Amino acid sequence: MESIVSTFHINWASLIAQMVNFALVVGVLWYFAFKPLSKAMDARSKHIEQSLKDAEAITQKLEATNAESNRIVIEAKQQADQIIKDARVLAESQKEQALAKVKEQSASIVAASKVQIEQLKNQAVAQASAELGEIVAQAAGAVISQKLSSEADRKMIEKVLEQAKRL
Amino acid sequence: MTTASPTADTVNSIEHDSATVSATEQHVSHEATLFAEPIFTIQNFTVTNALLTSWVAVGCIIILSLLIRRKIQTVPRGIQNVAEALLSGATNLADSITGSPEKTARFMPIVFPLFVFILINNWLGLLPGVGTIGFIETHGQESAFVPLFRGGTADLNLTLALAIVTVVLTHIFGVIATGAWSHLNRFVSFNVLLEIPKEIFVKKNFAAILINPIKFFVGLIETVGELAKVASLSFRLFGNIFAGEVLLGTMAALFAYILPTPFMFLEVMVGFIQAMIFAILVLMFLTVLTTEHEHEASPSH
Repeated sequence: MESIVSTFHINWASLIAQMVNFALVVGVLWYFAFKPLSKAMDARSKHIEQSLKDAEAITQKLEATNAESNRIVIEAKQQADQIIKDARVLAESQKEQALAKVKEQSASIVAASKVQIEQLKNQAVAQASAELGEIVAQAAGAVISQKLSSEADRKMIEKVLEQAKRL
Repeated sequence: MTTASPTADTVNSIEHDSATVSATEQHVSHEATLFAEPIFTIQNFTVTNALLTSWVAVGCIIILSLLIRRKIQTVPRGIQNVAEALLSGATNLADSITGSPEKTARFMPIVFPLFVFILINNWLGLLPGVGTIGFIETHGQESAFVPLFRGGTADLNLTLALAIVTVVLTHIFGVIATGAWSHLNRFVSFNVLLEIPKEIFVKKNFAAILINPIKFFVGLIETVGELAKVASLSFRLFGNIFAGEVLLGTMAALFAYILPTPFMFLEVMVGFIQAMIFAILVLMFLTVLTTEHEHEASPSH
């Protein structure tokens, strides 16, 4: 042992000095490099981990939002279709109602017209009859009052007929 | 040409270059000594050339650490990238050895600086000027060249100091992790001796009379193994680095140009590998000593 110590010049002072050197290295590396580096790396790992989780959550939310928006669009389409269908049905019914109303109105107009025509006709007939009677009376008066030749007679008849036609 | 050794200390030194050129016709020996040469003294404390290199290494590490600390950002750049890659690689390697990230986190503040300190000391020894710049010391008629710097790990004082510190730390960690009694029984198995009566009278296991004393002596062998750890760690590192320096010196003496270059690359590799071996061995010792003792872990034995 002594020969080893003397051969390699091992002495406590050098040993302790080297131990102090090593302790200094451990302290300095730990405090100035290892600790802050580990902290930075851990923080980055946590940040990346959190970012990945957030990204996953965002993706899930996006998928859910897409699904929701698709559902809403589909629902809106269905509602729009239904509204269009309802509108068509309503329009059809309103059209039918309007048509029926128009028909009814036209029928009533026609009926009123017919009644009016009938009245006018009756009135005209009555007037014509009255006028014809008057003409006939006049003609008879004329016939009676004067002797008419066959030619005048024929002319009188034609004139009366002509007046009757006008009526 | 070989010169005579000037002092009794250099009887054990390896002479690799003995060029002797002197205007005063004195012999100046260039010898690779097994020990670090004293450069100056501060009161009673002798500063050797290896200690000086070690201080330079500490200075380099402090500067590097401060640079890293100053440049730390969320998005790493430059030196932080290198430091993080190194730390991350070391952590992954340590994880594969300890098998537990918690243990790695506990041991890395010791093992990683150990690796860096040894590596820088190993590589500083390869720099031009280290071992070649110095002064001539004259003792009587003989003169010897004393280099100003010497590879820190080419001095047994450094490797031995590191080995002692790390082995002591493994035991401290062992006591903290498994408890003082369990840790003590790993080496001096009192439990095994105390169990003998129980094994014989309760369990009727008469083989315990033979087996348990053997287990006790195995524990004592483990104690010797702890001393061997210090010796093997320190001498392995010292031997490899010192041999490398001698090899480079010899090659440079044979032919100073080109010839030492491949050996220089070899020594760069050796420096890295030896630092890694030392650190990994310490990590393994830490892992083993912080794992529950087999006898304690399996009460059926």
